[in-house]
Amino acid sequence: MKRWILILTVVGVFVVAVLFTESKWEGDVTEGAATPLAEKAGVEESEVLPWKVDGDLLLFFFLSGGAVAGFAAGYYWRTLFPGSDSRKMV
Amino acid sequence: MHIPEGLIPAQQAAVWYVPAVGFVGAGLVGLKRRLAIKPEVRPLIGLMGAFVFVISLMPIPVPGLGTVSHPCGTPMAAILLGPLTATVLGSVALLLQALFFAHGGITSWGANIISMAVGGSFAGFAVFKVSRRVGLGLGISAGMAGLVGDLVTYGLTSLQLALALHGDEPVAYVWGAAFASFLPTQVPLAIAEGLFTAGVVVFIANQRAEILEGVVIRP
Repeated sequence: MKRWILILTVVGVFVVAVLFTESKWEGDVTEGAATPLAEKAGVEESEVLPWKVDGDLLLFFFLSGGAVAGFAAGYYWRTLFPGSDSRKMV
Repeated sequence: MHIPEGLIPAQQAAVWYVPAVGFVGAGLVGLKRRLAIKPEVRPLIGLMGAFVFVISLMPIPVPGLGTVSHPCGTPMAAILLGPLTATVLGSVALLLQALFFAHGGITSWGANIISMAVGGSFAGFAVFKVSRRVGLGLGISAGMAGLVGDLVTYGLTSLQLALALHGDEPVAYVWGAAFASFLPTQVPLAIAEGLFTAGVVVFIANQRAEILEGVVIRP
């Protein structure tokens, strides 16, 4: 019980502190460190892929990959988790 | 620590690729051998791969500073699966993040593998091993591995940025400036990663000690 109170207190303090920090929370810290150096060196960040992928196409590919991976995990469930299906599920 | 696309000159990016390919290749060979001997480790590898992918993508806000950053996850993966396997998992996570989330890049993939996948894994694993050898507890050893692995990752990223973007200034000076700019955000996150790593490893030791068999060195 004491452990849960401690965890909830820490999480609560964290959430309140985040909510009361004035910031837009934009950009990873690496961008913050790299951008001034890159500007000074006259270098600009470029696109990851040489061709442009519009809209939600990447999301489509990512979710399709996730669905295939999920299907594979389910198909090979007994191989992956031998013995874990000993209890019959209805 | 995901260095974006285009910031590292092509020659340097190619140089970072060489050791990265070596580590990942060695990791894949080891992984294949390991799966042939002990196939039951597959679920743990899959789980840790997903863990490294998610945790190293998650932008965690740092209150007071207004910045976000993320842990690495590779120190914990290295404790549970060994540093070479953790390197493979980290490199796969980095590739997916670059392709689907514009987090990192393809030309900078080699450099990012060296900092997060290799640096985080090997530094974390070394700290864990040494800590256990000198008799420190499991939780403290894992916690220190998480903390040091995280900071080593960002130290290497700073070095890569300094080498690529130092211009006319000395590399050491730019490295120091870049690392110093990371520290206010990254130190709290490294502590959090240490605490989380310690908690998970101790939990696994209590609940499923067989997972740590052969990995945890008893002092």
